[in-house]
Amino acid sequence: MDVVGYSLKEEEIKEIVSKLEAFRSSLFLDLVVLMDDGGRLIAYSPYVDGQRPIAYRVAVVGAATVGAVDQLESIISSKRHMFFAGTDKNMYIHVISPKFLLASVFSHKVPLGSVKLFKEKLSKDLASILDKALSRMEKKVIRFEDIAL
Amino acid sequence: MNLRILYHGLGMAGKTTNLEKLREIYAEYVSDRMHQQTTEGRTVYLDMLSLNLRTKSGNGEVWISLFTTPGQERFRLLRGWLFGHVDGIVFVIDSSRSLEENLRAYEELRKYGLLKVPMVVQANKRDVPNPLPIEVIKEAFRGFTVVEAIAREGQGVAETFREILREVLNAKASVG
Repeated sequence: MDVVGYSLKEEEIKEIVSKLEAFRSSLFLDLVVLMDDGGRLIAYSPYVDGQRPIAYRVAVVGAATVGAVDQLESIISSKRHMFFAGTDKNMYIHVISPKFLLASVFSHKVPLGSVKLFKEKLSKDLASILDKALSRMEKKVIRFEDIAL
Repeated sequence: MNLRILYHGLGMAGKTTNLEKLREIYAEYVSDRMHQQTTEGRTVYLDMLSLNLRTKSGNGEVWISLFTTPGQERFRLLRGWLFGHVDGIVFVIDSSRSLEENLRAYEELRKYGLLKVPMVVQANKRDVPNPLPIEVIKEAFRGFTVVEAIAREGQGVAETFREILREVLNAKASVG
């Protein structure tokens, strides 16, 4: 059975969101998403309700793409990051630890080099929080009878 | 809480049809739908329905991702990621095909070490002429909940989903 091997406290998620927000606003990025390797959405910026479905999709598809590209690993030998150049926007996904991934969405006006440079610092900042989370297991319990379905 | 439920079974067993019907049944809870398919409508890699449910008390949220596996053999290579991150499985049986063929798909779950994941069996296509007898399915999957369905008409689809959701949440409650 898949057990989520980490647990983030409310205050840690707030701290992560504020770090993502600082990263996003300083580089003028459109969207930053932190997810785990299974595509579970952890945090995103800008942290507004309208962005949640988009962030959720980025998390699932981003992690699935990294998972699928793993199958090409012997050919391209690069699982640390992926870059997608779109017509209007770009997406850069990098693996910040074996368990966690960060996706940044930005316009062509933003140089990829600056995203690569500043994500290093962000990764280090997030590492201490995520390492602590990895040492805890998820214990949230919701029963079927609790769900409004 | 995030839950991930995988619909697995032979190609054309009705996995995507289940998700399409669930999208209609639970339209008010749908937050996203993705389906990467060929021009013939066959699933390639990602077929996902995302539901956002709330608890009755209103202070809890459950995000549920329902995935299907691409049934065709050639996509087996890509199943590692899908199989690696699941909380529950709906095994969709194609009643128009033999038990042996269906068990071949079930064998994959064993290979990926998923036999301890909560699972519900859906006996789909019960309206075909001479369907695989339900007694045979129940005997082969003794110990599992078996739901009879005609997914393209929506029959048994919601029942299957509710059963797997119940089993997944019960399993999580007993762990937590």
